[in-house]
Amino acid sequence: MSEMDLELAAAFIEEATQLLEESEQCFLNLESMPDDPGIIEKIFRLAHNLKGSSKAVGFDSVGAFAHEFESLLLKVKNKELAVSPPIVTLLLKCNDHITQMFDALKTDYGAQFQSEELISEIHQAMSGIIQVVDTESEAKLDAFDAENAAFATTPDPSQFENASQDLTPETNVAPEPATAEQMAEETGKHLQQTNSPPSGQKRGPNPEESIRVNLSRLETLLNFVGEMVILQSVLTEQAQSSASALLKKTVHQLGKVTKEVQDISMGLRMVPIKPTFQKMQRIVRDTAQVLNKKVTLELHGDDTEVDKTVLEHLGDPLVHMVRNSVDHGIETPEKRLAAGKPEMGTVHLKAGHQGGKLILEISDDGAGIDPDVLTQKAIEKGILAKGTKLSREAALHLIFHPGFSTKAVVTEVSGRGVGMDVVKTNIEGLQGQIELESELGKGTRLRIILPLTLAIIDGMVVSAENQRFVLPLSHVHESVIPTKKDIHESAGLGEVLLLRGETLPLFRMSTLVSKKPKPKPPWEMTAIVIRTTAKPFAILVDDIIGQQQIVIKKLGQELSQLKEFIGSAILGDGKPALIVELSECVNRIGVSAQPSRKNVSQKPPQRSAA
Amino acid sequence: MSTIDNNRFLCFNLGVEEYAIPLLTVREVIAMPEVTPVPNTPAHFLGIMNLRGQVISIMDMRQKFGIKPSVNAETSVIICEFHPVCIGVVVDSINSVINPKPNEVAETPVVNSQIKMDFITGVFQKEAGLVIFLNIAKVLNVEDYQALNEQTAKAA
Repeated sequence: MSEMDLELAAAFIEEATQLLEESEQCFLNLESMPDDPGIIEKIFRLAHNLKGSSKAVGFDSVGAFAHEFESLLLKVKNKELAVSPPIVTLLLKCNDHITQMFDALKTDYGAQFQSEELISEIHQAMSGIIQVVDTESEAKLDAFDAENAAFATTPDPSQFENASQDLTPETNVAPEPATAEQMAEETGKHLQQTNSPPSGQKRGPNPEESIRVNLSRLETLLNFVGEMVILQSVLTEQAQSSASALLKKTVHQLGKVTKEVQDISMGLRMVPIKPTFQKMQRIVRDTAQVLNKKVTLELHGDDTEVDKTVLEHLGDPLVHMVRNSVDHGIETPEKRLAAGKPEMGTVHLKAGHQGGKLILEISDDGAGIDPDVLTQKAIEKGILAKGTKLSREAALHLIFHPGFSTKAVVTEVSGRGVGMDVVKTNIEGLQGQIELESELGKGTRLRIILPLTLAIIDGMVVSAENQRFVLPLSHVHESVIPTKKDIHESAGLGEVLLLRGETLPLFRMSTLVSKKPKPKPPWEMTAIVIRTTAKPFAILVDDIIGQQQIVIKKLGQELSQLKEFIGSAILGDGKPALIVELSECVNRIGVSAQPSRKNVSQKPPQRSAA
Repeated sequence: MSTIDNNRFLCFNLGVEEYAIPLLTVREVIAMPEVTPVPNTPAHFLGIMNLRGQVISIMDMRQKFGIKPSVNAETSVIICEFHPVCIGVVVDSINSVINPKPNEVAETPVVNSQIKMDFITGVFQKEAGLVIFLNIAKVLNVEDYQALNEQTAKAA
């Protein structure tokens, strides 16, 4: 393959993956609305696009399978095959197979595939109605092939246009007048290598035109934008002392433009949550089928945009939560009918923005969680001591405990007790929070509150030993200036902060920073209360300098062993400051009570300069 | 082109001693910036700096070698790049770029010493004295960092 071919192939694979996600969604809709001709039209178009373009870039084995797939779809479309669950399952299977093929192609463009088994299954399904197939539809198929051949070998847009226009009258793919355009649009959107403008507008520029950019290039851009913002603020400061009004005005305008550039470039990382949500449809369907339950998933706000990195880490937690809703939340149809609920259970998946945060909500109208049962289970498992009484909220949060499961048997779907633990860890890793509400008999609602982006966090800048550090604001619960009587010191416990009747271990940031911190009475310092760790604690800093949004910069590999710093931030004056991971920090402070320091390498050999 | 580049070295002073590193590992040379110290690191690890938006670690070679820094205003930082690690090295002064012929570089004289000498690749005689060629990646333990990262990546 030439370099250009390789590029084409890579672009095609990327597009095809999106295409497949879309088609999966269509299949699932098909089951619930078998009479909707629009859906099958759409699937057919997608399969058709896939076939044509996979042949065009030389993936013949994919093309061959897509052809069989398309034949099957045609029968469904022409109502020669009824849309029954087995057919939908077969269609999904085909979809999976194609997905697998693309996964393999991603690593090896020359990969070959065994599709015979599935093809014979398709043939069997089709032969069930073989007598209905008349010559006319065979002819249609042939016509398709002819078109596809043209389609596949035409890089020239005008030819493609002709092809897609010809397609309409001859083969009846598109009874509605708009469909030829739609198809061209779909194709234009998904198959960039054909470079075709929508046929309707005769090669006008595509309004949805887009390019793909490598994420690392984007990050470099963001880096420089961040630097520009800092320089801008330095410049503003310097311009203040200047006498030139023109300079001040120009700097002010530059400030506006800089802000604009920053906003736009930060937005570049944002992608819609839709594809991730759509995957959940499949999970709900499969899980419900295994468990013989009837469940629909309703998606709300799937156009919400999320930082790409956040989205990558959201996939797994969402799968676990959706599965849990279907498995633990929704009851069997019999139970639901007995409880006077509709037979079909509903799971809602919502996404939205609220006050600079991303809110995800998963709710079901299932059985709800009984806190008493959870407490009892936890006692049985030895997680809680016998006779422990928990508040309702604390009891509900038991589901996040590692190894906790109310299921007696480990099934294919759940019961290992890993799921919700994973959810919690992932969400907290993203600096997010989970809220859980449940009403017995009515249902359960999980709310996940996440920062919109991981690249920027709200930070609190503090000082200790004349150095500045950044604490993620999401970890800071409150800050207090302790009075003398709030502090207790004893040889055994060290310093303890009394806060509204609560005793909190008190650490000093300065012990982390230097070996010989200056002794300073705590009542001249500020205590910051942290409650995100397993046990709450307070940490003493010299002063709070301020709060600001900061762009996280990774530390070099040479510092990766320093777990107590998750990164660095460049502050307003251009100097970097370390971002502190407080729980690790406290571990370190605990350790540093002993004089030995792990990180110090052997003393360098002493030599005197000659 | 590449043969010429491979044979060019950047000479710098640590105290009164002269050292050289391959020019290809040098990304740029900057004046001594403001440095934020990082707790719990060895003494020669000065801290981190902001290089046009990139946060880079700075090491002091003089401390690493136990050489008394000379007091002058020429102190510079050589930014060395070993993909993906990027480290700044503090030196007393930058001297010149030399292009020695292969036969001009002598092997490391064998010294009976307890100090590991494997980071010295050779010596070059100049009118003024000896120039010691360093394998800067070895001096900075870059391989260690890379290995460390691979391990943590595997564990994760």
